[in-house]
Amino acid sequence: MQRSVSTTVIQPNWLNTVEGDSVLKRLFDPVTSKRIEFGILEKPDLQINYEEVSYKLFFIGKSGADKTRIVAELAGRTVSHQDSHGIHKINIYWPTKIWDKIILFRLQCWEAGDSGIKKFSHILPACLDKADALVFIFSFEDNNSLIEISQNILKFKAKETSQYAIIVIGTRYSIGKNLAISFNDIKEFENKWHLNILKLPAVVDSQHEITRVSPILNSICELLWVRDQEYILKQSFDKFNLKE
Amino acid sequence: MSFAMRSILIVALQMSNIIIFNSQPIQYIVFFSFSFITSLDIFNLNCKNLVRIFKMNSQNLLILYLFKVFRNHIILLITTNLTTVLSNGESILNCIFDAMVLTVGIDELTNVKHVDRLKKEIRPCYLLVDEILKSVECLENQSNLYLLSLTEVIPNISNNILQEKLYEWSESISSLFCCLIMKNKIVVASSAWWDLTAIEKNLLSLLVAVNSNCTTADIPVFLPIKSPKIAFRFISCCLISDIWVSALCGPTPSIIEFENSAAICWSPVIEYLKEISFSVPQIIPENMNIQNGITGLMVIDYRIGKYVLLGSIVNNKVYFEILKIFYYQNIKENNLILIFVDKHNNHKVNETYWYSENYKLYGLISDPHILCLMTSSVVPTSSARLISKDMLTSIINNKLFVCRK
Repeated sequence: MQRSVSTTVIQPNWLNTVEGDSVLKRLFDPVTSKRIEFGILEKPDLQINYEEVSYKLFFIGKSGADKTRIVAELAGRTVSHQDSHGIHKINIYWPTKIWDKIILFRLQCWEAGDSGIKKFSHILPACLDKADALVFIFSFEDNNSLIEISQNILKFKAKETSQYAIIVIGTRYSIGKNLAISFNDIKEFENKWHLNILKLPAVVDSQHEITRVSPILNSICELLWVRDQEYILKQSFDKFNLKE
Repeated sequence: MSFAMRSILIVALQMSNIIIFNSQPIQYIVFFSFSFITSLDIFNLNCKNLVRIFKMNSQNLLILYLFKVFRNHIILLITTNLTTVLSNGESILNCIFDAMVLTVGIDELTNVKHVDRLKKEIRPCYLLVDEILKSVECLENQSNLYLLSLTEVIPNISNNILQEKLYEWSESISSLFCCLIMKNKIVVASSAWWDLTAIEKNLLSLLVAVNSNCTTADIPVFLPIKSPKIAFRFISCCLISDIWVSALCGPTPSIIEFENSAAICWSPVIEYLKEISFSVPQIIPENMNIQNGITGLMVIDYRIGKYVLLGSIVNNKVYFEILKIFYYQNIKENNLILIFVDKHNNHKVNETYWYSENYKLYGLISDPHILCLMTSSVVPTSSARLISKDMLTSIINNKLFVCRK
């Protein structure tokens, strides 16, 4: 399993540049100042040359782990506190600059309620089918949620066909606050699974939503991009070896 | 404890297991004493119909308790101080019970093995219940009234093209039950969709609205009347902002297949969809020879359970609310439809009116249609009567309300 990296391939501050800002503006409704909710017949009109890549992510976490809220926050939509029933899918468009190219990531975020998964057998296979990444959610205020993630990673790793990238997001992170999950727990977990935990801090009113979600979205995009490049490289290498 | 303008629903499964639906706008939960809970069980044993109890609370505020027992052991109870609940309490409770069946199925509700599991599984229906309870408050506030037994449709403008597309798409996903929805209003729907019961159509439309925070939703649903034991997949997908396509499906298609077929089928008519989305066509068409003084109208087909609202100006929201309230309070609550269709009733009422300082409302029943016409107050009642008859004929001839049943 590859270790998730801090964004070195994606230019982390590109959205703050004139070019990045003009691209980002295309994702926002000028009237409401909210991110545009694109239907399946629509896509952002960036008015610039770009390449689009699409990935499927399945969000996993115990009931009440805020999966729905996190997906909504990453998508810039109204945060919902409802219990999910069935499968919910949100497409998030996220522009990045990798080397000198603008890449628009279309992250298809799939999420399903815990009770629905247990009751209806078709839900979990549908969510896992052709998924590129499993996104595990835990809360820094609930120690058990991190333990459960370890069990889940083992469970999904055990599947022979498992090719999923693993992403872990911790919510309700707050510096200087006594959290149920300590720094040592995090380090231990990261070393065990060779990945970096992404932290979604608690909401600060004055903070712009992009400032809050961009580190997480950039990290997810970079992890998926690097994984793909490694895969392409490996395929080319295998072909080359066969010819030899 | 303040009860100002609020309703609370409580579900009691057995004496010791009570689920409280704390509607989102409500910031408090009511805890009942043991004696009160015991009294619920007495009702459970002895009553089958709706029971209304009035009590004064400590602040001398009249509180209404409404009970109904479903399937011998499920008690739905509403506590409220809203007087509007008194008249439509039973339909609200029926609708809430149907929303519960839609979410978990009748078997889960009637054979409760694990109450805690049921409490968890029933949570997704809170949003539906919230919307239903809100309709009570809207009636009290006279704003955004949601009619439980009727589905609002968008009048026929480019519907022939869209209807053809809907049938084409229906074939590609192998679903008979499908529709195109905009902001909780049906734009076009398949014949089988209109054959669903009014409450099923309404709850499914409501389900699209409460799940509109995503791009695509695939939700297991039990149809309360047609299929309370076997679940369908209700898939909804956002085509463009505010416009959704929905269908009741079996094990296939997958979500991706559903999206792909929707994209292939609907992309050629995206301009029509945008036209509907940007300018909600709720203006009375010019070719209907609109008479002076008409401000708005509502046409209802009560056999299919649908209605359309049309106004003379762009911003008709206030008129539409008044028309809905007129229909609700003057025609529905007085059971004029039942009186009209009752063959043994010699005293048939098919016309009714209201007047106020600023406007006049005239209601006309002509099986299966009801027309509610709003005119300015200067129009004489006798003229309003003639105009109503003309308008209803014109609307039927104009096929503005046909919607391909």
